[in-house]
Amino acid sequence: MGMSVVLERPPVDPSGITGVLSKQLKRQRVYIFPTLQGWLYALMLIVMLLGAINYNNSMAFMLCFLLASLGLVCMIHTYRNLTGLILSSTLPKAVFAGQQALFPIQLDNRLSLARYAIQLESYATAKRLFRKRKQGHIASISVEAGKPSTIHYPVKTSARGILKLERLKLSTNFPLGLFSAWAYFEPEFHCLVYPAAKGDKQLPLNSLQKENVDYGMQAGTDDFSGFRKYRPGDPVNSIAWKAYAREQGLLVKQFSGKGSQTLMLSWNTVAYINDVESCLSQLCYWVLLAEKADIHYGLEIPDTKIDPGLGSHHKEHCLEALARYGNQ
Amino acid sequence: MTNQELSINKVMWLALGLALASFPHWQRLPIWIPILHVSLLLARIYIPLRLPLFWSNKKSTINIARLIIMIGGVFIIYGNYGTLAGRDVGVALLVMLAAFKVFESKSKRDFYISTYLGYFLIITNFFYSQTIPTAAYMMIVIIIMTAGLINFNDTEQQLTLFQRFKLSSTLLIQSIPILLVLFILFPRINGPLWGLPKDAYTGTTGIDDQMSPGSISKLVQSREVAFRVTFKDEIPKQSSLYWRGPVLWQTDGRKWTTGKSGSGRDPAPIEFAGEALLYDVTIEPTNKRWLFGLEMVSIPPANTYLTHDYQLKTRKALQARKAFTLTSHSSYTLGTENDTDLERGLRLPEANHPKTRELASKLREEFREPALILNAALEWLKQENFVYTLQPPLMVEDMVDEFLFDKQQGFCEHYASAFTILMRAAGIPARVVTGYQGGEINPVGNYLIVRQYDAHAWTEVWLENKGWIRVDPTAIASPTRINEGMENIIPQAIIDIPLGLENNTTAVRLWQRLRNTVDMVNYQWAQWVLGYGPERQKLFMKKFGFDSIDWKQLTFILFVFLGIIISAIAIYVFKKTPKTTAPAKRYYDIFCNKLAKAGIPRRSYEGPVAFAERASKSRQDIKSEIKNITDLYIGIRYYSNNNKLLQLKAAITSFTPKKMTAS
Repeated sequence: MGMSVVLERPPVDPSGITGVLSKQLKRQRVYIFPTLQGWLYALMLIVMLLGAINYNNSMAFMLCFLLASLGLVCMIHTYRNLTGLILSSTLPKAVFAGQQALFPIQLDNRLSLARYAIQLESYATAKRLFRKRKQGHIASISVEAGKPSTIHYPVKTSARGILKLERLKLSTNFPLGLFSAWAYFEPEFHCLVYPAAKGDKQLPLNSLQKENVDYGMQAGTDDFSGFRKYRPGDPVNSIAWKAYAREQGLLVKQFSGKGSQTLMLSWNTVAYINDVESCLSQLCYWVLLAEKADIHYGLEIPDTKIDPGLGSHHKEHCLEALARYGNQ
Repeated sequence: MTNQELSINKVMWLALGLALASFPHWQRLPIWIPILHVSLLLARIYIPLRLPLFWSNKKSTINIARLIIMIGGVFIIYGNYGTLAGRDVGVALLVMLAAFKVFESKSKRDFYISTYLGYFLIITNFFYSQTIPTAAYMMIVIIIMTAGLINFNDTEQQLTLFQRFKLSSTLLIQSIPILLVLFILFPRINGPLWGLPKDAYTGTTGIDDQMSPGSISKLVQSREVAFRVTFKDEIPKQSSLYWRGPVLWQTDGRKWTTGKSGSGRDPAPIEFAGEALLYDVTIEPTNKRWLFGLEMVSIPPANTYLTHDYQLKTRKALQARKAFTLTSHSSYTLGTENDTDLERGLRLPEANHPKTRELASKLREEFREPALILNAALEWLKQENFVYTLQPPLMVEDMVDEFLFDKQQGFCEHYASAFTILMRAAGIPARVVTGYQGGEINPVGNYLIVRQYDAHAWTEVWLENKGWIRVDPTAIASPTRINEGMENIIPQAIIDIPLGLENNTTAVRLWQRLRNTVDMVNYQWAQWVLGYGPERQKLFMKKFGFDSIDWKQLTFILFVFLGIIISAIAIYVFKKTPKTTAPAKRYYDIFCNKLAKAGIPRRSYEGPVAFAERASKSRQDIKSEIKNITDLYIGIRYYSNNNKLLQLKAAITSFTPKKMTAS
């Protein structure tokens, strides 16, 4: 680990999104080169050396050599400031298109040496030489000795889907700014981007269905009909807290009633919109509205059908399906 | 980054560094320059701090005002110095313009250029003073300026003030090995590469190529070191230490000069006898070409030559402290290679010194033989009541007559001048030799310090068969001056003992010892650091068996050593930072060891929770303790509850599981 920076990245998941399950280490070489200030410094040293020779002045030689040595030592320290860091990420929170995706990037410093002014920059690699590359946001972070430190690297999103973090450049000029050390990563960090939640129509309540269910009972919200075991994603307000207090475990109150209705958000409901992305945005908007209005809703889009349900888990499931539409 | 506004904090570091770097110059500059310098630095800090709106809105107004002041400043400097080229005016311009650069600094580039100007300010100080205190002061300035650079690059401002200084010092200390390799092995060449400004070396005192009344007694007021001498063997006795300098032939009755130079002539024939004396002379810069050797130098060192009258001269003016290895023979017979010299040695100003001429002709008539005349003259000097004094009475008319017959009080220049004229009047060729006599032994380093107050003048007379022989009339009049050295003659004040301690012998002795030690350190500094040039580099390499090394070989060796040293520093820097074990982990390991001893070893695949679960199952008695410790540990490691560390430590220390019994 001595002379490199390590990328700890999640195993490649065909779906593109995963938390850090098991580590996949990738070593990246650290490069170093003088900065513009470093070249100016060298120029200054040459002028000083000429002055020292001309005046035959020992202390001028001394100063010139001291500063030259300082530059070399600075090079070692700049390199040291970057190497040995371990870069990893956890799953970023999904965002709606147009919002900023925040990639939680963790720099783990396992050495007893604090790292200062480490800069992160992610940008698309230029296809052609000499083309001015698009500059990414530059985030700066310091990492205490022996500790991990996390920075949320912001990336603007414009379209729904899976956002891949572009090539990441980790660099530092610390301590004197005469040299810059850097390493590149292809981090394979992804963020789910939901469609932008926008639409001009309110919930299509006319398509509310009173479903005839075979087993007679139908999940509703009117009349209490018993308990069942909690399943992740059940709305929090339906949990039987009293039962939980009696140490009976997490139970969910079940209601039944003829009035229970479900809203099936399907491709047909947005058939009046021509543009696919706008359809998805409208559906996304409705999902949020339905969730807010406590109306059971389901989603049916080509290739995906999600049975009606309610709760944050259900909502995320639906939103993800919308985000992934077309590129499973 | 490039166009960000410089924060005040960064500017303050810059201003401090520049002010400190230029501080030693302030006394040498017209007073308005340091005032302008400091005002600009303070303005750069104050204006944006107190008047941020003014600073950002009135930028163009400020820019115009700045330009006007700057151009005005350059004009006034031109007016002050009458030129814009030269050392002093260069420093004046640098001090002023560096402050203007800070004043207008707003970007990263400005910051760096200002810092580099600060480094230039430091180097200019060394053109005035290269002493150890100057070097130490500048080292402090460099630490501050480097800390300023660290502060600039510490973008999150994570380092404390102390840490900045510590890192700055660490970087500089780690630079020292590389510095030494560069200093010793970087191929040195003899400067200058281009013409030096006329004022590059001023303010040097020392013996000149002419002597007029008062010229030497002025030197005697100075304690400044002229040169230091280390003898290979014992230091010869005080009375034989005649350091020969300019030889003066021509006089108008008051002033002596070298006359027309005999350049191109070979040294006069000389015969040496007895043992050779080997010694190193480290001479302070004089900006002149005389080197002072013991009478008589037999082998001139490299880059020096002997004139026909045995003045030892260097090929280039001595503009820096330099060391030479000399060889002398104290017994010699100095002849002449050109008889016109004897005629020159008899010339006297027309119709002058009537009384002296009268005494001369009397001696001549009485003794006839030059050797006898010389003896008689010296005898006359001894019998008359001559007084050796640093404050001779004013002699305006005929200096020689007045001194010899009227006032009879004077200093070595009076004696030498009058005696030479007396000899010439008596028909014996004579000339004045100036230089130094004696010196002070520094017992700490066992070397001789010759100071300006040891300046001296004596006479050489020509005797057939014996050649040019040294006659020191001062020695006749004041034997103490020659036998015991100048310290015993000159007033205490010049010797510089702190006031009030003159009568305390212990204090005086301690003071002298301290002074000697300081001088020795300075001498070593001068010899090994300041005097390190192409010659010393060659000598140094010779010690390692490189007899004739050229710059190519030297460069090769330099790079080899640089490679070794830089690798060593890199290894040191990288090795110094081991992987950390978080303290919580250390305690937890102790806990695991205790459980292992109790019969429940932690398996390599077990996380803390799984391990705790298994341990609790098999040991109900310590279940709660295990849970407590595991919860604390997980809290610290994974939820950053670092404040619980002490609690964890206490819990683990007091955790003593009993050994599991067979049941």
